[in-house]
Amino acid sequence: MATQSRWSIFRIFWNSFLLQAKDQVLQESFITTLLIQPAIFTLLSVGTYLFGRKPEFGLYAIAGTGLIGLWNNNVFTAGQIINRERRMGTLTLILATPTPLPFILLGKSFAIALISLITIGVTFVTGMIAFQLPLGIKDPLTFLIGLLLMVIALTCLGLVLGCLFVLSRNAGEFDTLANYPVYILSGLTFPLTLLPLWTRPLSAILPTTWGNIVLSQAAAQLGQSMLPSYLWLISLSLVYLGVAGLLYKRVEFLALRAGTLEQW
Amino acid sequence: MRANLRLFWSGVRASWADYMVELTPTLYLGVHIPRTIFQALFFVLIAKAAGGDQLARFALIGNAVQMAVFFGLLSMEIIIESEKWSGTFEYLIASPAHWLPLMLGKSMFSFSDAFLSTIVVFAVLIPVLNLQISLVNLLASAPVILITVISAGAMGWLIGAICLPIRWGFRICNLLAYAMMILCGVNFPFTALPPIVQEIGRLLPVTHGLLAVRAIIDGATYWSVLPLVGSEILIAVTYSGLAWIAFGYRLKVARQSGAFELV
Repeated sequence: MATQSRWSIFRIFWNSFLLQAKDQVLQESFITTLLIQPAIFTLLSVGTYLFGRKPEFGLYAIAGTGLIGLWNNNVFTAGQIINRERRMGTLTLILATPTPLPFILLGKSFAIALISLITIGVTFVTGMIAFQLPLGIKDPLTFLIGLLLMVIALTCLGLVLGCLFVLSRNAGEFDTLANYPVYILSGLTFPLTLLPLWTRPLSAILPTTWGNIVLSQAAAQLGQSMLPSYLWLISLSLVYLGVAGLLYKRVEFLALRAGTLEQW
Repeated sequence: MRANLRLFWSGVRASWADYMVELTPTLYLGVHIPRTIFQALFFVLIAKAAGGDQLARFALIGNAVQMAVFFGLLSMEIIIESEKWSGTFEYLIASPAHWLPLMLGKSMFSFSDAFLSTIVVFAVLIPVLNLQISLVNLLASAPVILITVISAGAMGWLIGAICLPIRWGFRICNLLAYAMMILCGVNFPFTALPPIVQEIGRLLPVTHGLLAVRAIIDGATYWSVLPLVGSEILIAVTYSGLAWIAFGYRLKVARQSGAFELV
């Protein structure tokens, strides 16, 4: 019975993953947000560093812009998943099925996070072609582990946001507002030392901060231990999962009590 | 003339009503304004990391103007596209009234919003980043900023007209606005770009206007920046002319075929 239940959960996860992946690659935003925008951001940030005669920041800026794309797609699409289900009239049906919404969201968020990895490749290729920067990743294994942990953390964060967005129609506005503060607080494309000290705790709770540290250091092989950053990413993923679980219970309770989702 | 003014005024009122629905005061103050500030701050911080306070100052002026350009560029395109999405474009085409005063009226609040964004960015980021910019010179540059934004609006209108039969106009404008940050010298001087790319930059709105704005803020007289302002006006007129032709052609084809969409 337990095996059958686990298999069902996996099947739900897999089908949600496949559905979202197909949906994602067919959207016009796939080309713009995953391919063109990261390239423009790379040209802009690396171009600024080269003009400022700091080419050594090039690799850092490229890793940062890759993560901008990763975050942008994840948060943006996490909001859109719920909004689209709401507009198609399927959100209430999904919430009413015996399958818990988090499993469906998990599959969808994972698909988005995995597809978003394309942006990392786009930024590195742009850097190589446009600026002829030597962009060989010095420590590929560390880089890949960091990327994997980053994807897991963003998937879990997408789950939190997905649960939150069930109770709001303003998910789009949240995307609009959250992007740039997150880029700034995570130090994506510029050193965190430029920010005042009081912002550090805020930076610490964002997966992009640690992802940025891991990817930049692994790419340049600075020889520092990655363990603290790995542990931060794993811990944050667990915290997000816990928060998503609590949120979902609350959302489900409110929806069942109201008997509708229309009031949100 | 009076009929055109009335059309213009009804466009202004529609624009205001649209803004009030789309952007409630809560959303405006809680999302729109913070987003504007954070976007500019992000690019200025990159410049600060790359070139210290000098490049940060350069990027602040560029990004403050770019925020207005961003909205100016998108507003004219959105006016065309929103009519299409709302299903009201057919009525606009069929109506005997001229579309230009109405469209200009409808763009008025977007342009006001664009200009306000520039003011907010300067007002917040100059003290936050402790950059030296003369308030008097900044005020003196306001008319040139306005010309630059109008010039960008002309380009938005052209893109809107070209993209009328497809559904990509907004995305193209959005990406172009980011690309213009490189091509028009927003974060770093466009003269640092390869020569061929510089030539593309010179053909775009904003490049000359931004150079004039920077010069005025640094203390130059209007007389000395006249060639730059003249070039910006010439570009605005050229893009408006092309947009007029393209939009007129689209409307003609739409009236003949009874449809304006290809997809």
